[in-house]
This record gives sequence, C-alpha cells and structure tokens, in this order.
Amino acid sequence: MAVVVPKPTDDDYLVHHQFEDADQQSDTYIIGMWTFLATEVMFFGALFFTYTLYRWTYPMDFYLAHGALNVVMGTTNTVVLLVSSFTMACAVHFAQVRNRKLVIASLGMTVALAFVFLVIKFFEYKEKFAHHLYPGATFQIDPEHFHHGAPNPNHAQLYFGLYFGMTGLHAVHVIIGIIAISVLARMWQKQSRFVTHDYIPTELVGMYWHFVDLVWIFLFPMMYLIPHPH
Amino acid sequence: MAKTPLSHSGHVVSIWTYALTLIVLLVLMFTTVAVSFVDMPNFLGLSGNFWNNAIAIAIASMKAIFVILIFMGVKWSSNTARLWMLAGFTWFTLMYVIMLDYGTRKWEQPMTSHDVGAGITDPWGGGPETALPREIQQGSPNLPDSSYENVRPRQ
Repeated sequence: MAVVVPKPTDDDYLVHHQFEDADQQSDTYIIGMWTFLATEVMFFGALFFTYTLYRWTYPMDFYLAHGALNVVMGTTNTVVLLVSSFTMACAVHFAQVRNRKLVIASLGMTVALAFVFLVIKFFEYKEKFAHHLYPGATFQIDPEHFHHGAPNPNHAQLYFGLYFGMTGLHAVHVIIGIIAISVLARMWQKQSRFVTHDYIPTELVGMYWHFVDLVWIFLFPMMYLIPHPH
Repeated sequence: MAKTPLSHSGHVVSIWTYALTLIVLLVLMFTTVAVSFVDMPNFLGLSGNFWNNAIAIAIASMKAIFVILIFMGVKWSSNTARLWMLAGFTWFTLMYVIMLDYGTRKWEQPMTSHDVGAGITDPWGGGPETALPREIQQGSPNLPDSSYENVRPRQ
C-alpha cells in the first residue's frame, strides 16, 4: 500500500519515522558524529602516544630539534584556527535562526581562515625542506637553523618524522574540512532544503571542524613550545 | 527569510557566548606561549621541567574543555552525547596507561654474563651495521648512543 508523504512546506520539519520527535532525531545525528570523532581520537591518539614516548626517551634532542620551528608562525596558525572555530560556531547559530546570508558569510570566513592556515603551513614546510629537515636520505643538521643547539641527527629525525606525520595528517584533515564546509556553503547558497530546513548538517560539519581545531590546540604546545629539560 | 529559531532548532547559543569563549581561548593560548619561555623552578620535589609540561597540558586541557563544551555544544547536549564524547577521551587516557610498560622497562633483568658469553652485545642483534643508515656509520660525529634503556635485550 502506498504511503502518502505530505509535501513539505516552509516550516515543515521532517522527523523520520524511527524517531519519536525532532530532539531525538537531532540527538541521534550528533551521537553519530561523536562516534566518528571517537575514531579520529584514536587516529591521532596513536601518533600523540608515539610522540610522547620518544620525547620522553630523548628529551634533550627533542628540545634541541624543536629549535628549528618558527614559534611566531605556529602561534599565528593557532590564532587563525581558533578564530575559524568561532566563525564556524557562528555559522551554526545562523543556521539555527535560519539567516541564510550570514550562514554563507560565516562559512566563507571559516574557509578563508582555513586557507590562511594552509598557506602558513606551506611556508613552514618549504623552510624545513630547504634546510634538509625532512627525514630520510637527505636529512642533515645545520646548526645555524637550531636556536638552542644541534640535536643528535638520529633522534632529530624521529622528531621531524613525527612533526611531518602529525602536522601533515592534521593538514589533510583541514583540507577535508575545507571541502566539507565549501560543499555545505554551496548547498546553503542554492537554498537546498537539506540544509535550510535542518540545522543538523551544519552542526555536524561544525563539530568536525572544532575537532580539527582541538587537535591543533594540543599539537601546537607539544611541538612548538617544548620546555628545556632539566 | 525567517530569522527566528524554530522549535526543532535545538538549543541556540548566542554569538556573544561564542565570542567570549574565543576571547578566553586566545588568552589561554597567549598564556601558554608566555609560560613556555619561563623555566619553572623545582617545586614539591618535582623538576621545573615537569611543571612546565604540567602547566602546558593543563592549559591545553582547559582550552579543549571550552571548545568541547561550548563550540561543540556538549554543555547543552543530551547525556548520551556526553557519554559518547567521554568514551573517546577515556580511550585516549587508557592508551597512555601503556606508558607504565615503558616506564618499568628498566626494572627488567639486565643482560647477564650468559648473554655476553653467547656473543650477544647488541640487543637488536646483527650488530650496528644493520641498525643504522650507512651515512651515519661513515664518520659522523653524532653517533647515536648505545644505551638501550627502554628495550629488552633479545634472547
């Protein structure tokens, strides 16, 4: 027997049949997103643990190796990501109050800040490659690039391997976030009912973006602000 | 174009709350940068380095709490969502329990004369030639140290 589904009007909100009410539906989507974010915690967590272990094993070399990093660029990147988290949260707010123009503006600002982050990261990586700091056959310690002194090359390779691995993986997540936010903004721009009638898609993309920011919040002091071991 | 939330829009957080949170996060961030340039003194029998790290982790955790509670909306989420959030970070904490393994490696039996008598002087086996890249072997002034404190000698 055919089921007649009423045509949605402007203020109609579709609660799928397996949910009791709209709140339970929204809650379920959010729990689903947290499930995915838990896998991301595991993804990054393993690398965080590896870093912890090797920094604990070679404290002096990790302290010396981090002297090649540019703290100003790292701090700027952190500010950029924190502000992008704010603009993303604003986008969710405007999605809830259904202000389409401000949603698109906020999402656009978030994407712009994400690009700024990637540009600064590009210049950081460029400097590292130029100074032969990519682990492998070309790795070489030039003491003038290390503000605190030259580290043991083998242990420094561990540090830089983890540096490129973790910040690189994070940058990949930023790129994925840029794509997701851009697609979301496009859907808002085309007034797709999927995003205009339910704030949840915007909320979920927002949660992903805040998680990306969260990872950087831990990465930054870990890699850029290593205290002198004594 | 409607500018008011609807009954199914969930809990709406004001822009001002988000802005205040951002300000708090930025203040915490500049604090952590400033503290990193100061060497903490030894205190309560723990080294200054420990306190530098402890402060950095504490500040980063506070920032994380603000991001999770307010930006990600967990403060207004259901208990189920909160449980899911805690599950991920519980896993993370439990994973760090593995450090107990590495921290107690030194307590294991050291290499005995039996090992030396059997010709095992290198825990990795095969000698340093197999463990190190050739460039390092050829006269580099920075040879790695041979203290394998965290590695159990192979039988």
